[in-house]
Amino acid sequence: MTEASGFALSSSLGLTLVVIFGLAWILFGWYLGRANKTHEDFALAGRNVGFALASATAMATWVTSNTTLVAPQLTYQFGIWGMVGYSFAALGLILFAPLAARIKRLMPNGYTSGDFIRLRYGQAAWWAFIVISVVYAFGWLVSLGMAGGILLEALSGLDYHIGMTAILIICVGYTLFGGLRAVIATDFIQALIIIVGVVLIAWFLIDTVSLESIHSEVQTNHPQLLDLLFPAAIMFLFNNIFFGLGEIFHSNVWWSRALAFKGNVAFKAYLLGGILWLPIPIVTGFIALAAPQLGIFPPSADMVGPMVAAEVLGKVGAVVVFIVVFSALASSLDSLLAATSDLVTRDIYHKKLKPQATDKHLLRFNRYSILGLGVLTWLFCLPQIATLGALLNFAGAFVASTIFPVVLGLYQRRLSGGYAALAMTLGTLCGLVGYFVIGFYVAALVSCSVSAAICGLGLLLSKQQFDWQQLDEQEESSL
Amino acid sequence: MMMGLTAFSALVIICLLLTACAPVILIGLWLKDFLSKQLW
Repeated sequence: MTEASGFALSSSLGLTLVVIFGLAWILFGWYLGRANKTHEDFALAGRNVGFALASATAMATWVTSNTTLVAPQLTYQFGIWGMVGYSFAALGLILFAPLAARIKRLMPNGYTSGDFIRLRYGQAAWWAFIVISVVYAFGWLVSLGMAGGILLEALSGLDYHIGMTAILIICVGYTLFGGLRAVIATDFIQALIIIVGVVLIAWFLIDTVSLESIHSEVQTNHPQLLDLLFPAAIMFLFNNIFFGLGEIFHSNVWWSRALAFKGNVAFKAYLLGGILWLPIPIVTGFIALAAPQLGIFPPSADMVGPMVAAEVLGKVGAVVVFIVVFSALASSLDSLLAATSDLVTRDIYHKKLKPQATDKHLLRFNRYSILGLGVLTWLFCLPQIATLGALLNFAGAFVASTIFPVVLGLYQRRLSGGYAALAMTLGTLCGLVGYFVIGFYVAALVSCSVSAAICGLGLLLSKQQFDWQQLDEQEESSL
Repeated sequence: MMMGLTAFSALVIICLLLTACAPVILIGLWLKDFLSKQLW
């Protein structure tokens, strides 16, 4: 860290990096957006994304600020199981691979995950699902916006509000111009930046501090971090698996990609994306274990990763960390803006309010939605309300309740809408009780278990035989 | 039960090497799609 300011970068350098990256992404988004002629082009990149871009976007979107900031935080708190547990979230991507292929087959004209719930289960389940989706999307959007501000402030001393505002303006800008095509193309470049940056930081850390000395220091002064039978950490491991599954299985971020990928690409892309993602949290998480040895005791646990990297690698390290986390933030924020605006446009505006809306009208409304979501996120980010980890795990209570309704809805004809709605509602409520009464590390577990029990009951008692043809909804809007 | 140095080092190094392979795979796939005009 520089002695004069106490920060690894000067405020002016931090701001310069933001402006350079921001302009580059927005211009790139505008360039790609010229090919968007219809709402389908804008929302689903023409349903024609190839294997390379599909794999990169699956991986990069799942590498969020949480992978680069929260994985080190959890390692700092839970030790080995913190980073291994976080890496198990890759199962979400890997297990979504067959689901994505089936989604593409059953809903060749579908737009969103909300479409599926509405057509498969009806209105009651749709309402429960939309509430869960909106809470999750906002939790994630706010956590990403906050991470932008926290990152800039920790590394350069730039005011939290300026950093947070800058990242939101940039992501809203290029998503607005380029739609999903811009989101996916920037994801490819961001994926490369993230991986190369993470490898460089970890390599220099091992070279400078050595694995032996990190292990020795932790073993002497913080032995619980190496304890393979650390109870709360093991609970966290299982909780994180269900949380990751719930996040991916329900979120339109992943459904819209499955529908946007070329014919048989979805399965391969999610599988490869998951495999490529699997080792990353262990690499980012291990960085945090060097903190005690370096005498770093961060004011907020989610800043431990960037602070260690900046301490070991000096100014160059701080620039690399800055670019990596900035790319990770952007790759998730843009995806979330695009996918949530699709939900608002398709599920609420088109299907509920304006069924006769023209394609041009939908395209315009989709852009307004992106802008509106950006403004709302900015308002929620203004007060820095919680640490990233706490905010993230709160959402676990919501999303884990959707796992069984989604999976059974795709493969089982028997489960009816009433049971699906009850499973999501009661699962979420019980998950919230677990979150507040026991702790954040059981919220997803409780939510998923209750939902699974109700779905199991539904399969036993329900008499319906759903017709899969009903999922292939034909478009009503005209040009 | 504590994780020993050998297991800890192996875990970190293997994950680092796997992570380092990812850009090569992604760029290779991109080139293949680009040359066969299958990017979009």
